[in-house]
Amino acid sequence: MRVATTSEIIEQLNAIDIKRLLNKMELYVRDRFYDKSDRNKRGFQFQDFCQQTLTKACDGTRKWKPDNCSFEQFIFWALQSDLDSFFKKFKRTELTLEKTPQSEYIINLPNYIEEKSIDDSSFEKIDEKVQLQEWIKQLKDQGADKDELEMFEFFAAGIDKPKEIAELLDKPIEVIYTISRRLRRKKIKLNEKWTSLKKQ
Amino acid sequence: MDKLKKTIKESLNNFNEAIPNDLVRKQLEADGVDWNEHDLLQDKFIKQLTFKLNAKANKEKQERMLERASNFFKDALNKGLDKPIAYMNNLINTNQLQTQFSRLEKMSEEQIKDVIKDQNLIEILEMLEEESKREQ
Repeated sequence: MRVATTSEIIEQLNAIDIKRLLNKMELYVRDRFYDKSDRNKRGFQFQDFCQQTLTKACDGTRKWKPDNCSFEQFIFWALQSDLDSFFKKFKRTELTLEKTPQSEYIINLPNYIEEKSIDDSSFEKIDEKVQLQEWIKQLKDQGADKDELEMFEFFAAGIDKPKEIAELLDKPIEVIYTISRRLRRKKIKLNEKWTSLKKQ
Repeated sequence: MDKLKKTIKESLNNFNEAIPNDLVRKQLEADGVDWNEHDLLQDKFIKQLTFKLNAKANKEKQERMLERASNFFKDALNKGLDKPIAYMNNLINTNQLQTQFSRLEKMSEEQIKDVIKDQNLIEILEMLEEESKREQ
C-alpha cells in the first residue's frame, strides 16, 4: 500500500486545525493517565506525548498509508501505540527496579486479541447478547452509573453520534462527553483479560 | 463476538472524532490547562514542525528532479542528441572529469547525477525536454 509523501502530509496539516488535533490528542493522553501518578509520566508533560507522536507521524518515522485510513485516524492509532509502548516500558522498568508485581490489565483490543470466529451467525447473536450483559455487569461492578451503561449499550448497537446520544439520554451534549470520559475509565473483560475502555 | 467488539471500538472512535473543539477546550480547562502557556507551546511546536517538514519536502523534491534529470540525460546521451552532449561535455570539462568519462554514452545514471547535482535542474530538464521534442 502506498505511503504518503511529505508534501501530502503538509497538505493534510494545512487542511486541518493542528491545535484542535493536538488538544484532542491531549484529552486522550490525559484519559490514559487518569489513574496514574505524575511519576508515571517520567518527566514528560501531556503535550510532549502528543508532539512526539505527531512529529513521528509526519517525519516518516511512522508511515501513513492514505488508502488505509484518514490522517486523524492514523494519528490516534499512532498515539495509542506510542502510549502502549511507553506504559509497557515503564512497567518493565518498575518491575526491574522494585521487584514488585504489577496488576495484570490493559491490553489492546484490536491489536493483541485474536478470537476464533463462529460461522453460525445465530449462535453469534446469542453469544453477543450474553457477552454484552456480562460486560454491563462488569461495568456496574466498577461503579458505572445508569448513563454510562446506556451509553455503552448505544455504542454496542453502533449508535455513536454525540447529538443522537444526547437526545436519547435527554442530556446536554457537554454532559454526554463527561459521561463518555467516565465510561472510558472502566474496563471490560475480554477472553479472561481486562481491557480498558479508555484506550479504545 | 468479534463483530460486537469491532462495533464498540468503532463507536468509541467515531464518537471521539466528533467532539467539537470548544468542548475539547472546556474539558481540558476543567483539567486545569492554562491556555496562555498551552497556546504558546503549541505555536512553537507547530512552527518547528512545519519548518522541518517543508525542508524535508524540498529535499525530496530536489531528489525527484535529480532522478528525472539523470534518466532524461542518460536517454539523451544514448540517442546522441547534440545539445545535451555539448552541455555534459561542458560540465565535465569545467569539473575536470574528462579522464573518467571518455565516452558519454557509457556514463551511468549515478555518474550523471554526480555531475549535474549542483546545477540548475529546472534549466536542465527544460533543455532536455526541448531537445527530446525536437528529436521527435
